[in-house]
Amino acid sequence: MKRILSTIILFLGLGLAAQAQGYQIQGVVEDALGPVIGATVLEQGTTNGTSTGLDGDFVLKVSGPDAMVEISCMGYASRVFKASEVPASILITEDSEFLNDVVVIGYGSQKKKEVTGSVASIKSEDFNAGVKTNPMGLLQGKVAGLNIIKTTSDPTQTGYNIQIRGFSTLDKGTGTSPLFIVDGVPVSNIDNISPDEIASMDVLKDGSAAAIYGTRGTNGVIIITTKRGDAFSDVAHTRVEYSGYASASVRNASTGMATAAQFRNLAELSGGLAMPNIYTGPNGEEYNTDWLSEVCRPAAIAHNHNVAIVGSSGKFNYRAAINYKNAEGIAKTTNRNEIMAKLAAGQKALDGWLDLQYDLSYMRYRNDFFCGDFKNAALLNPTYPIYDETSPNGYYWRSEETGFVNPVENMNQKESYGTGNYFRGSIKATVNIKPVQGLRVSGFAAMEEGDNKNYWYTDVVNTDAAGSEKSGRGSDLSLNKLFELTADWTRNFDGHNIAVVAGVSYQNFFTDSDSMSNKGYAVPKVMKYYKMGDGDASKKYMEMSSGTSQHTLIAQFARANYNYKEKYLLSASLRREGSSRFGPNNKWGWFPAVSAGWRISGEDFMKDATWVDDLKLRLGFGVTGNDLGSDLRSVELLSNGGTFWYNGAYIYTYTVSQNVNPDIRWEKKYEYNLGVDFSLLKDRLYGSFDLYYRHTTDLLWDYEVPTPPYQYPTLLANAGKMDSYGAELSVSYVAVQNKAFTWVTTPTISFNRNKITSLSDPSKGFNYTQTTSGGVGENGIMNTDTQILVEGEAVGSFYGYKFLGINPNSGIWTYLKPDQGDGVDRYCDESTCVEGDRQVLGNAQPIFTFGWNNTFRWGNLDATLFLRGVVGNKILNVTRWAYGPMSANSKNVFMKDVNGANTVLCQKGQFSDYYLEDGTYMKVDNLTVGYTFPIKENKYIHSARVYLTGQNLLTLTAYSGQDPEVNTTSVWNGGIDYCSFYPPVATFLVGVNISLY
Amino acid sequence: MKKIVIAIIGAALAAVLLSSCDRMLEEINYGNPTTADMMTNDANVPLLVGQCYAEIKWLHDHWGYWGVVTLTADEGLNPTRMPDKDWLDGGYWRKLNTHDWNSMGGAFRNIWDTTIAGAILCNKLLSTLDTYRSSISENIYAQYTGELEVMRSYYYYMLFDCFGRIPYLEEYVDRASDPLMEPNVVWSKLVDCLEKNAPNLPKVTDDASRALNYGRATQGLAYALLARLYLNAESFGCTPANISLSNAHTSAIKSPADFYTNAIRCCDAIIDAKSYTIEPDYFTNFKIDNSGSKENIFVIVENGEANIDERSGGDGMMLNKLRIALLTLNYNHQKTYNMIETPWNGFCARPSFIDRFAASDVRGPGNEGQGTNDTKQWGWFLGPIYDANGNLTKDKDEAQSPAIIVKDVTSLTEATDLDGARNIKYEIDKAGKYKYSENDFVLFRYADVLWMKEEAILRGGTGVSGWDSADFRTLRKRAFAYDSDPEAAYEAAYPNALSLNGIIDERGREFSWENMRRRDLIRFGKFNDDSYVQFVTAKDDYRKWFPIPYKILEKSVLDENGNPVWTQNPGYIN
Repeated sequence: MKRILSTIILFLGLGLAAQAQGYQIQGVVEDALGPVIGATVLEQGTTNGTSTGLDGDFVLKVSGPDAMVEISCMGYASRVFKASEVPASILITEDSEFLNDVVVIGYGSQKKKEVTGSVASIKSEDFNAGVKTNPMGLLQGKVAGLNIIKTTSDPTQTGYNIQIRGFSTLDKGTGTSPLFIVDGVPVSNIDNISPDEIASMDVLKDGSAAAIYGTRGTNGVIIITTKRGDAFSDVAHTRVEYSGYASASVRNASTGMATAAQFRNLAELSGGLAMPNIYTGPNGEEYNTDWLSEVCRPAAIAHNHNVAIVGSSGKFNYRAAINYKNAEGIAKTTNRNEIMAKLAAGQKALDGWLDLQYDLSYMRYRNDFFCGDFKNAALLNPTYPIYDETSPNGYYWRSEETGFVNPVENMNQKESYGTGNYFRGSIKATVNIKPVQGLRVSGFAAMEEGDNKNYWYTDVVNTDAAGSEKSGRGSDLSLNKLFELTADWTRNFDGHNIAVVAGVSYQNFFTDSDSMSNKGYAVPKVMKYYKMGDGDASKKYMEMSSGTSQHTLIAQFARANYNYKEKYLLSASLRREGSSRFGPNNKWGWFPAVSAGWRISGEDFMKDATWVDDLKLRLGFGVTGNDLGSDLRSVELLSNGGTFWYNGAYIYTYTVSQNVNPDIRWEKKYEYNLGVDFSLLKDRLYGSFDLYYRHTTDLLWDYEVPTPPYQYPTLLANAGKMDSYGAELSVSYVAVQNKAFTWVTTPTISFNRNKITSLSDPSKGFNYTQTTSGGVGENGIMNTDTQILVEGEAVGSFYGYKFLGINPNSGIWTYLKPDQGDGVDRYCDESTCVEGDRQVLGNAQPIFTFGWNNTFRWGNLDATLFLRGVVGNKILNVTRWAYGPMSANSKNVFMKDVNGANTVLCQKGQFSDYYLEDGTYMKVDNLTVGYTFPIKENKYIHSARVYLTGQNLLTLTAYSGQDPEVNTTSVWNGGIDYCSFYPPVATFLVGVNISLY
Repeated sequence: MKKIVIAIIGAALAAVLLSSCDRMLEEINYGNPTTADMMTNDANVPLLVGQCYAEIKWLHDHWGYWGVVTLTADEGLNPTRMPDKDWLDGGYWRKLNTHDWNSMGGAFRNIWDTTIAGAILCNKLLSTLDTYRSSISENIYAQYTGELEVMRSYYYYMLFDCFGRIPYLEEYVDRASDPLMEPNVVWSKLVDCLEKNAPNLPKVTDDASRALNYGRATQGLAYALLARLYLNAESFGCTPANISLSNAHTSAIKSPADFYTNAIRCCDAIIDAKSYTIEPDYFTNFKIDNSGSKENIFVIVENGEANIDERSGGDGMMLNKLRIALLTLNYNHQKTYNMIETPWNGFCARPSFIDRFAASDVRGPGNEGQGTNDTKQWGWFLGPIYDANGNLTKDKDEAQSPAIIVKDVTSLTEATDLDGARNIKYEIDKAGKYKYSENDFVLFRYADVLWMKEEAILRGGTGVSGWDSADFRTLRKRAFAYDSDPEAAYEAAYPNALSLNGIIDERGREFSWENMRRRDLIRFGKFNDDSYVQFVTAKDDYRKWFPIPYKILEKSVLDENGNPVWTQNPGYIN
């Protein structure tokens, strides 16, 4: 600290030299098409600047004729002139060299070419088009190593499963999702950001980049930067942007279950092996019910509108936007409606001493949930009727089966909806310490508040007397407060470029929730969740609960970036952070990082290699942490432990409901990253390649502990280690570039391998070296674990018997025992197999994941074709295992194993790799064709574009289930396709973007 | 001036950067009290100590102690039922029925986890009482200390009954590095602890003290458990030579007969106290509101309403609710009784067990022709199931045959929905009021005490038979309550009841599904005998103890050679 201070004082004198003002420059900034509005004109090394007006013109007073003036604009190459040599007309050219893009790195930004960590930056023009439930949909498949999975088309389920670089934690008490930073605020929710309002998203993948957010950086960081007002300009101006679309979605995948006709013919189709239980009404009626179609819309319609008003003046700029979206789900009754408002404003004050930035955003949504059940609809016997024709009221039909549910009845007799508000606001005040060139002190205050309410009512349901005419409501509130104070200082001299930032951060998270339900209303249909207190007067059915919690994170951090002539690059950061959630002695952790880069292309010896435009080698190391996901784990507290009959009445008892561990502390991940950024062949081939190795220690996990001494069988504790390594390649190639036609193809590919190196810590009494996971309990399969977490194997290892064949005479399944090292094959069957005959059968994680984007341009016509997929993973098809053909079938049958005399009757008793399938797939994820209208310069319309998009058009796969895109980001049951059956959809969309002056 | 600005900024930054703010990182607890918050007065003591009774509810689940001890004895069977292979569950239930289990069986681990959690809870509460002794009155301290020590013994008894070798502890300390205690040592410690506490526990003397101590540890519980331990001492592997007792109450045990004499002494302690009496109606003990029974000594107090105090993890998981009616009744019974949830059509009896009932024994299946139309109550159900309007219901199989429950079970792997007698001694809620059973679950009752005493005498213990006492006569009479001369009917049906061969059968009839049958069969050497336990295939003697769950062994502390200090029971491979 002292050294930084003395350095600051040293440069004080230099700052004073450039104070005299009085030399005026002026000019017009133009590109090939004409004047450029909003270009920045800046006196280098100062905050003195302006931006160009409607005609591309500017006027600026600078300190003198020798001042250096930089003219820059997003997407263009900067130009620098001596003040006395500024031409009247300044031509700037579009910047094809992506390395000059600015990358947001947390508490600051860098030019891409100066970045030494592994950071991917995606600008808005490269986002996926189409209907997205939250901003992550815009990135799906775009970033190597960023795995984004959506397993449902339900618009009320806004989240995506997100994972960066595979597993680095066991996900007990911690999360696997990256940290999201929205305009500087670490947030818990990103639903309230309109895709049209996002300028860029930056993904900090490696430890050296993420360590500045050290404590929550283990799973990577995604920084979302929203659009702001135009650059400050002496000539005030205002623009209006509109973008909107309308879309229709239709089902585009088969469940693989029998149709009614197939079910009726099951005996014949299965060579007599599987008999259907065909329902016939009391008077011989026959029914053929397609349950899934009964609960689905033929097409789900969605539309979205975004209007933004953008402007600036000399001291103030702003962007105000409003967004409206309504999206139907493919399920009848499902709908999501949202409206968002956003304001981003900037202000210059106090004669250049003070810069202010304001951000406000608000969203209100309503979700109408589906009360039927797709799983039930897909699996129900297709010869069952929907309605009971013998009932005088045409009541919904019910079967005698235990747990029978009529999905049409549930859909129509139940209602459930949720509404909520999200607010986020922040103010940032930056004081430019003018006497010290490049020194700024910033205060940042932000708050995020979200409240959700949900309501439900169940009318009379034939199969659920206790649940009928019952209603409930609940609410939850979250409040996230952030205060930060930072100081940063930048200085460039003689080729030395220094940027230092240091600060403190305080963030507090508060949650509060309640819920209640009741029944016994006089007029249930009318009173439902409106008159909760009017239920049964004895209050016997009234239930209520509530809870409150909060936690706090406090951090101190600093980072220094240094480079010499943008050739030798160095970055170091340190964060010390404390979390209220850890044990009294282990609240604080240190998270250092260091990285270096070498731009080889800047060396003299590379001057002759004209095919190399840019080449940079990066090396980084960083330590990151993982915060605990729950409160009060290190203190012994009493909670409600159930009732006790005490002297004639029930009383509640209080007990310690968990083993308490006062020593829990931060997980730590050490990550090494080696990367290359390149741009070759006159910038026609460019991209990045990264290799990484991650080592996590002190894994937080619910460890199995001996009982006694422990009261309960598990203890949240730190023990165990995990390694992972991988490679990522992202390349763009301008395959064709001429006046008529351009084709840019961008493949990305990522490999990840993971290994649990240790699960135990005998010094603490944790001797447990494995545990099984991936539990499946379904239709006669009794809670069978299908995966194993064991030292030496990867997360997601399927574990069971190795299928060899079925004895054609007896129908008995035979399995291959694990090799005992002598090369002799040994066999067992369903009656002789023992637990020790189980073995690792494959892994739920793909060998590699890829995305492949192609953009084409013919004059005003453009097109995008985006493909993505995974290769080499296994999926456990639970539907095939639990609902395959049996000798007698009263439920619907998965048809994959129905094959005449070769029909395979399902084997529920033992889990074997017979039910594991190759999960490789490639999806035609997006095809967009757009047309940009050629508009002559006028006073009203700036630009206009229309486009057509098809989303999720086709899936190429050998997987026999409904959709091979299953969740692989879960430590505990990744790659298991649990018969969820929410129908995948293809979406067809027409959209328009208009910009008006 | 500028230097001052810089200095101020620098100093402020340094101050915030280098402060540690620990106070801001203290966790704020909303609503969860600490032990110290609660142990401030006598009134709060039962709120903590009562947890030892709340936790015991886990043990009567079919995934817990009750399910395992019932299905491994002749009184219980849970076959896989066609056409949907209900209760297949990977062969789990079948393995209990055939005794072909291994250490993976999920319920073994549930038993371990729930009994240990209960026992350690008691130790922890005992240590809490010691810590806060000065905040509470001495008589409260003494009373709850005694209750907790007896409840701890009961938790350990259930663990011991299953596995034999267990980690028995009387303090809240870490002794995980000790090897498992051998059965004879555990037995001695259990007996010592119970003998020490029994005389000091509350005694039921009238209706007021019965109500006050309902569902709680009393002298009756302590002596009944002691009698059970003495009566079964030999079946637990104890001999006069390998036990070591230090209490003053136990009469010297020099020969096996002395075990039985001590059993008689404990039975007499209950009989002489005149706390309990045999109810004239067998079913009084199992009614929906059975809290008035003067025969029940210790029960789990149930709250059958669906919405209170329910903790569960879903299918195949334990629940702290009594689910006997749901487990055993057929789907069609829902139409008879207007039940909230369709029953699960699972647990029934082995046919060999039902064969031991005389035709008019009220505890048996009775007049099976009338089925649900029969207005008399019987212990087991056989026969046709009529709906609420008196129409015969149909099975859900393809033929839609009439729903008539039959005694025989055709196969453990392919039984029909209608196979096997169903236990209905606990009154079924026919008003559609309770999702789970509201009947309090009986763990100890006076009839058991009377029968234990007779058996101990027959096994060589010294004591005076109560066979002709009024209570015993009531016991015999009520078994044939629907006969015109019940005592004669009893004598005709079971002429050898008062003999060792008679007692094993009579205990089966009297105490079905009351957690006793497995231990009785082991004591009588019938546990592996398929003339009793029909369908048993694995007849190894070592199976009278269950295997220590493999996950428990895997967690064991290692000794200095790196070997687990907890080892598997003899005979089991892993």
